[in-house]
Amino acid sequence: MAVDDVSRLALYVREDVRDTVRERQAQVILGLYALVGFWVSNNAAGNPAIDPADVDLFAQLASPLVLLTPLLALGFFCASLVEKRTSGALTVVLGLPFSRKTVVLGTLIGRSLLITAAILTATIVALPVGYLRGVSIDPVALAGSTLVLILLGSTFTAIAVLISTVTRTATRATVTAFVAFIVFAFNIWAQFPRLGVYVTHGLSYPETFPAWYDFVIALNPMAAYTYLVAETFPTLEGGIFIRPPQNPAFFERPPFALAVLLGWIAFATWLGHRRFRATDL
Amino acid sequence: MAAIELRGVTKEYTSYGFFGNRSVTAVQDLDLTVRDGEIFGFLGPNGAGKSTTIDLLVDYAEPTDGSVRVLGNDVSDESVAARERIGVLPDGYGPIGERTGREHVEFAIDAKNADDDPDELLARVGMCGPDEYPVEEYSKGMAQRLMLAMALAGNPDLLILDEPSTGLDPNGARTMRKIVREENARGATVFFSSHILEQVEAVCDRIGILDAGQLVAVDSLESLRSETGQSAKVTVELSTVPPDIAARVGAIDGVDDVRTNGTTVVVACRNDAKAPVIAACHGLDTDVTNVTTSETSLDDLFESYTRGVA
Repeated sequence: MAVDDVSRLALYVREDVRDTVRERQAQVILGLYALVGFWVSNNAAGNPAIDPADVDLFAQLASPLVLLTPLLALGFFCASLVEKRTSGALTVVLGLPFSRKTVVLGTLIGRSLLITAAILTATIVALPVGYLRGVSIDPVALAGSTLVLILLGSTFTAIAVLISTVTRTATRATVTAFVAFIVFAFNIWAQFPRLGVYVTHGLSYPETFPAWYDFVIALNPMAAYTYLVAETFPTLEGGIFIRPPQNPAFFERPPFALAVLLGWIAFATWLGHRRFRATDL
Repeated sequence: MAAIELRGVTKEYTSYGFFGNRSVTAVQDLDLTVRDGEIFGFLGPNGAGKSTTIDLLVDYAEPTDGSVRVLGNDVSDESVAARERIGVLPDGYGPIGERTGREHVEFAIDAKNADDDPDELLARVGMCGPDEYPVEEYSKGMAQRLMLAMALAGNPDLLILDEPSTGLDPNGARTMRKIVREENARGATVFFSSHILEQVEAVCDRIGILDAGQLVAVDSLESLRSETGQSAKVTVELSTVPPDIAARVGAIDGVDDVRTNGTTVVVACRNDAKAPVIAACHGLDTDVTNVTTSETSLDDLFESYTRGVA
């Protein structure tokens, strides 16, 4: 990228973030995360049967955020580009010297910054409240949960931006985002390779499933999150419908899981840009 | 160097459906050159393909076939370089988020790495005051002025204006014409599409007429008038109309048509036949009470080139 491209990308990101503030989207998301941070940390020591010192604050915090973050990223950002396209705002933006790559990348970066700020807000609110309630605060879990959640949030932001580039109306984008959330979060994704096994095995299920079945399941970003934290931050498990295997294969280990999440960001951005570039306004 | 060059440009829109696909050809095999430094008017009836052509120039849409060059840049892979030097007032625009008018103009200035004063641009289009309101609350005319202010950011070498007078009051339309002339005097090329023929006539050096996706005429207004034959009209009011007037005036070289309506005689003729027509009327055994002459209007030209579809 030339210097001009970089400065225009920075300008686009700045204005995109400001737009979320002007439209009160940023305030709603940050407020919601602050509320979750307060609620979780305030109730972390709510069970009198458990010693607050045995409760890890960020394990508690990660539990709701691991579902909330993909849900909000998809829900709020799935219309980010399609809405601008249908309203005519993109006609104004693309009349200026912005490339379509800048628009896709700028939207991804701007919205990822917002989701990052929201996760940090939840953490910042939870810290003093949790401290006062006497729950355990593990700095490793703090860093781990924050970083992994930011990565998960960025992944679903990239998927939301992809949805926004391939749909023609905001309604279709919302429906597609909702379906994507159900497929990933509730692991409906696993039914696709399962169907593949059923078809390739003569319309019946084999006694043992082939290795590629588990490999495809591992490509679900929610599964990747689970596999990533299972070994690195085991206290952060929970809150989602996927359990890590007892004897993980290489594609169920943290390095591959990390690559899967980064791969989703790269793939969604590449495909989104490719589709957006070929789209007439 | 040509400011705009389209060679063999075709644009088809295809809609895909369960029961088959449908294609519409908006622009077909279009060759068009807009010279550097001219004001070019782009005319055509609704659905002729004017906005599609502008979409192709600005890279809002990709041509199905052919090449589009703007300020020497191939739009298919150098559209950002082209848009650094052009100002666009597009059709079908909308506000960017909930930004104010001033924020829109500042965004355009920043995007072009320009150092314009937003107040000056807003004042130039006559829009000081409402610039602090969100654009969503603007009337069509105010939004149109704002888009013109954004288009002017960075002193563009080429202005592409799609129906710029839409929604403008007479003062706004006058301001727009003044700005077009000023920008042209500064050295900018102006590509100007409009349905308001008087405005095109008032500012354009050359015009192109598009019909059903094809360019049916490109030339100066004077040349197009002479090409269509009926370049002038003489209206003579007489005290009484002699019965042989059609034969006598019609015999003059360059007269195409003679019609009477009460005591008024309307003669369609070449420019050089106007004086002989008037002289012939004075030579009749009747009094000439009034004479008016006019050139063929752009309206008539438009109708003749577009088969009256407008």
